[in-house]
Amino acid sequence: MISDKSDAAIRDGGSFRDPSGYVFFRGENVYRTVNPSAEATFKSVAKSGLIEELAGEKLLLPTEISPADAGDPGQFRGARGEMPALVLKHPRIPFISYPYEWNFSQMRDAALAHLDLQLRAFDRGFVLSDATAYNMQFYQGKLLHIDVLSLRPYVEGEPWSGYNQFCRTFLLPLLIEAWCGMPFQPLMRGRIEGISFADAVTILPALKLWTSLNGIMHVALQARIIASASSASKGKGQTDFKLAPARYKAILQEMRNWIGRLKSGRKVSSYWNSYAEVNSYSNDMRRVKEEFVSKWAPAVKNGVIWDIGGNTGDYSKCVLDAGAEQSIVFDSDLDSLEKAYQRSKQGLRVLPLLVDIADPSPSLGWRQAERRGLNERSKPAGILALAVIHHLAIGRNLPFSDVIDWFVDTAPDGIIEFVPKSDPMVAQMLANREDVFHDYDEAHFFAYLEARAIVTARHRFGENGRVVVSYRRRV
Amino acid sequence: MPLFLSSQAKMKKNLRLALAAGFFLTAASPAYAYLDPVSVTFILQGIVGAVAAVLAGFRSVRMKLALFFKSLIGQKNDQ
Repeated sequence: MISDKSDAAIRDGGSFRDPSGYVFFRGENVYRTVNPSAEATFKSVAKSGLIEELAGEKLLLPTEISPADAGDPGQFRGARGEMPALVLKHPRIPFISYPYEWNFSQMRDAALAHLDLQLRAFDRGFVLSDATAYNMQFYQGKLLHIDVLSLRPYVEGEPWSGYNQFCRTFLLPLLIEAWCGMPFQPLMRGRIEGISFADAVTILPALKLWTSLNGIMHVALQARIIASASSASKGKGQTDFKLAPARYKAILQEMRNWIGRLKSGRKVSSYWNSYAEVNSYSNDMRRVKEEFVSKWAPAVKNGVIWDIGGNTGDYSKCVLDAGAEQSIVFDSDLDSLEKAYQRSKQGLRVLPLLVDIADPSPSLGWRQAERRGLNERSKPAGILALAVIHHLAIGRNLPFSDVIDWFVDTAPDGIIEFVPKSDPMVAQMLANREDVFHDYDEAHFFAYLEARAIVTARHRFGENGRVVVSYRRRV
Repeated sequence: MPLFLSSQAKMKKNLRLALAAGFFLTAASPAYAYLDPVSVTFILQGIVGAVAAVLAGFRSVRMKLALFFKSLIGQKNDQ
């Protein structure tokens, strides 16, 4: 969420379903309330030391209980008017991402981290009350569970209450990509509750489904049960059923083994994955561009940058090397994002996300505030828009001035690369279509940019006429 | 013969679960939009849990056997 500079505590628009407590933002701080109905449960979890243990293992977001700076609890009244019994504080996550923005590996790692947390908690006599993928977030290079109030003591014989939700928000998306080779993100974005079993069994290949023991159990049987459930059977399923602790743990363990073996079935043939090798500029030009970015990087030191069309994160690295906190790499190519994600696992502070800037993640859910659209979520300290402007203005028919306005509106500092019509890449884009982009030229580029910002540095590449500029937004 | 009785009881339980699985696979009844899908999947966990426990058992035996043969080979190499 975009931080509010005022002193008022604002409840997160997505925090209302669970009456145990709610998330609030006040300035740069993030608080979570514990309502009287959940106080005893939370205290028993906190007393066990599990919260610190899981946070230490980088499975759960660190939690400070009753922080000194929380102030009057009255400012944190809940979505149902509750007065909190306790206030907790969490570190702020620089960028909240959603599962429909993750690639296959990110989704699989999130599922495994969720199961690891559950197994660890179960061994200590605790379980999670839900299992939504939206509770997993990237923080300091790790996937963490962010909702401490989901933890509660295990009651012997109880079934896994988050089982169905886990399948809808983790397992089914992964299976759709693993077994069909079809990216799961559009389906996931289309349903806030996760992919439905009815949709999944329609999409998943029957042969795969019925020849996999796990597929039969977790998907085919579950889909069948949901489809054939009648109101008469409701009471029995809910209250009488007992699941032995060993079986509860075996389900988690076997689910982990299965998901750990899943691989994306998507065909890897990405042009963008090897973009660095096939684009229209030379190694020398790439080196000069890297130097240009590195020189600009101190302008966004300690800040979060957005790298638009960032590919595998090469230029992000230049900014991160100069001290930026994190780079959010947006791209619409899953293969490039996969490469960037592997680099992030090796320590590069990038968060690669599947976001098409011409069609970014919208605001979704109740009152369109449950999941925030890209522009409502946060604002970066700086933006990198290298060799992307022609894809938006020509490839997607966006008004040229609008594109530049969006960059400047989004970040006070940035780098934009202008790619002229004479460039072979643009010439290729225009080869089979009418050129209706009458203002797409260097003169208009500078006119639009300088109307909103000061150009702080520029470099022209002789070999293909490209110009790279850094800007600072006018106050 | 407590061990035998326990195995028999387990077999009966597994048979019940298998019959339940068969029922769910073959039965066709109308869907009700007001029914919480979470609650109806609880009973499935009995079947899934039983199979998962057996799989976990196999995995454990396989691992023990692998370790046993590994140690045998190790002993031979030491000689």
